Amino acid sequence: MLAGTYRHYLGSRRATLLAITLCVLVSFWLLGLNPLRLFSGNNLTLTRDFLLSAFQPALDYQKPIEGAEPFLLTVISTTLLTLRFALLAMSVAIPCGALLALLASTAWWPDIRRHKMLGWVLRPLCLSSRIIMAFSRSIHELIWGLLFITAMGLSTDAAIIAVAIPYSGILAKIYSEMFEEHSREAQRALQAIGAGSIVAFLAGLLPRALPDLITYTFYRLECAVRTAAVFGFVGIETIGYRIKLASDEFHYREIWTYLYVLFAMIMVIEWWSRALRKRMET
Amino acid sequence: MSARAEETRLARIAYLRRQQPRPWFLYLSLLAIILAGGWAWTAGDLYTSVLTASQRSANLERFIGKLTPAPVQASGDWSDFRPWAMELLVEGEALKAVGMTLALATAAAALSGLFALLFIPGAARNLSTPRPLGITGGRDTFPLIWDIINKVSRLAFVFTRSLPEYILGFLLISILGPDPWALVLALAIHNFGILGRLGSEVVENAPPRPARTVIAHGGGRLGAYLAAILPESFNRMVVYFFYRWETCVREATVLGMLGVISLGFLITNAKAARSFDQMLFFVLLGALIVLAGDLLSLLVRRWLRVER
Repeated sequence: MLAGTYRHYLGSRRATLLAITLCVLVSFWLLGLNPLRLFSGNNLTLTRDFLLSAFQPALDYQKPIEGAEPFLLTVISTTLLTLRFALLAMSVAIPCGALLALLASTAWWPDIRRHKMLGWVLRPLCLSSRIIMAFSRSIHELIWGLLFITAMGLSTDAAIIAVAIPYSGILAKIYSEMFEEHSREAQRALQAIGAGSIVAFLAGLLPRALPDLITYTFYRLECAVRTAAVFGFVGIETIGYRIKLASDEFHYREIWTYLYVLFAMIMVIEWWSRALRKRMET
Repeated sequence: MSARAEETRLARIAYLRRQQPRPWFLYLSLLAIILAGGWAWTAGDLYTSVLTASQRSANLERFIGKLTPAPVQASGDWSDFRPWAMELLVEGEALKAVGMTLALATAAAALSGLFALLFIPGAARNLSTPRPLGITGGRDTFPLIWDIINKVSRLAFVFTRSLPEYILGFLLISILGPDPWALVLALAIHNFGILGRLGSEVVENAPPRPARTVIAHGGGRLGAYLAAILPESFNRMVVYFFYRWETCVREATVLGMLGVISLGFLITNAKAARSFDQMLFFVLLGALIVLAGDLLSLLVRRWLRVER
């Protein structure tokens, strides 16, 4: 995936490190970050309580609630809802992202020097899809969510679209970069024996890029699960919502249960992605 | 073509068919994905809204009506936009919030990078083993320790990576109070996991010869890491650092929604005050910063001549 030559010495490594350090010091000063403050007040006791709870995640409500659904059942339904939200957002974002990526990439174009008319159609399409990509990605999914909620109120569709917009932009950006980066040998060979440019792209380039595309899509699914969890803070009853409720009551052990569930979901997705990749490469 | 030639041709095709790999795991995965997608779409709503369709459209109308800047709406003249925007930037503290957002991202990226650098040699599979880079180690009294270090640091990376910044920020604010430290640490913890994983991959893929030379001359694993591998992969590490910095900028705009000043804080405030014109202004300002950050990071990465 990492192609191309690279310089080992960019003038001076020292200069780069120095510049970064300087920016970091200025940032610390701007934010007024004093390391001593971390150890002041009852920060340490609270942190210790929180971290110690990691060793005994809750299996039941820390304070029993009369007539409530059993804790573990809530955990399971919350997990499923989080997963469903992520899947819904991804199932909208993947086709949109793929379409944008195709429009933004020149890898499948016929020779536009020969087909002048086509060039006039394709170039503006390419440019506009790149602009859409950059814009949709530059606004965070939570802010899209906030905008939709203020405009129309919270709903299933609003939540899905709010995540799908920036995710399509990000997927499109990475997909189109992958189309451009992969070696064109097979594609050129197919074109040389008379295949059309689209067929050559589909049969020559796409199969080569597929493992990378799938790995990245799975990584995005992982991100979507995290985003779905965070959307609990705007009202969808995902993991974030439960964490917020538990935190309001200082039920740290319940929080850890949900954090471990999130961790497990991410682990499963990562394992699946690795397993797929291994089998596609051999 | 004779019947016999035709027969051998068909036999060959049948042979090729039989030889075709049948990746059952891929088929099953595809099936699972399709089933999961179908389940997600058919299992009902994520959120049952209490709003009726007419309330919704009234909301939307009010929202859109208030999107144009208030003075422009009053006078109908877009020349009033500049003073309004300048006032928001200077007196409305938007410029300060922009500075804070960038500072949050920079401080967090640096902290996560620093701590990741400490854990990376432990997580790299080629260093943290009884036989670093394929060279038999010296007298290890307890060779298993390397596998333990390796597993533990990898687990630390995966676990911190799985925690979303926003939830970490929320939890840290409930522990530390509304302090910029909470947001910096939230960003840093999540990115520590990502940079650590990327960095250990860089170490695993680095050309092994210089590091082997260090070890063969009596150096330790840490010596090989500091003297041979880090200098060799300096550019790649810096590229990853900027790539994460770029995402930190994006997240930092949002983390302000938790109550520490950054753009997100101004956005939620404007929303609460129903000044949708200001809200949109801050959102677009945030988008501008993210784009600028992307561009800066792209330029640096180009300059370092490594593609991500």
